[in-house]
Amino acid sequence: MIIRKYGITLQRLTEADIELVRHHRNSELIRKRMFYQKLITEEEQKKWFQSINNDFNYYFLILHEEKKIGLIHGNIESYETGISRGGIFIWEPTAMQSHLPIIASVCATDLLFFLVKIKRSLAEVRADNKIALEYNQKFGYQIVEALSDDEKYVLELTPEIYLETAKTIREMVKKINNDPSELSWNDVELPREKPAGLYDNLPSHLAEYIKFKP
Amino acid sequence: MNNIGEFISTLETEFDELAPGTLKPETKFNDLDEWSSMYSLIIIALIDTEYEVTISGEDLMSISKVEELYEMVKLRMKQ
Repeated sequence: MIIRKYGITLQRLTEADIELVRHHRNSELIRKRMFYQKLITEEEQKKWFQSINNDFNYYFLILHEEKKIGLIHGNIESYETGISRGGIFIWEPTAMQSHLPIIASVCATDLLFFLVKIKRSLAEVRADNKIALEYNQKFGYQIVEALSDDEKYVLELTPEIYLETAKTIREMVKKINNDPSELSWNDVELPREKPAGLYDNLPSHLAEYIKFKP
Repeated sequence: MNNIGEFISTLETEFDELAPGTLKPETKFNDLDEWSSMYSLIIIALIDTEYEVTISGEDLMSISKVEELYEMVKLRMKQ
């Protein structure tokens, strides 16, 4: 699955790129912002990929002008409850403080709320990572006190609060890319052949759009 | 926009925790503690509303200093 919108590309993570992700995920800069801070081995990375390469996990490489700059994801707890847990990390230094993380966040959040139709998005942020906390709050994420503790904040976002709080952000993203349209299935490209183990058990509102020739 | 000093004053109003006079023409955006991806977008929006000049995210990525942004905006205001 590939999404091209607002000047960036989100490309579903495949096994071919997991070593690239591991390399950047193991860098000190990225690790210190993560809950799991140990170095990840090649074997662990393969096992992790096998655990997330399914219909409940949407891991996308973020590309800008053909360059892979980061990873963004949403893990869906279940399609029935409609709860997703998301995160983003950018490894390309020139992109970290640019507009690109915001565009990737808008694309992924729009995808999950308005195409995949989840009802709540959760994000976990280290309590010492104020930048990430503020970043999420600009999109409307609110701290869920009951789930947070000294080490982490758990934040929650609904589609309604997202549309209200991130209204200006979304308008700016559209404006600077000269693209006033909302993300739609027209922006989503599927592979020619159905990947093994994927898209088998989707809810009907997704199966309607995610189709492959027999 | 009469001069770079006026431009800088306008920019500074967008930063919550930046004392007036902190920004200089030679200041690099990435050197500011406050600078973030969100500010990239805020500055693009500010320039659009204040000066009716459109700069893209890529434009902003191509420069590093306040004075370079000023020159870019000034040039596009003339066009």
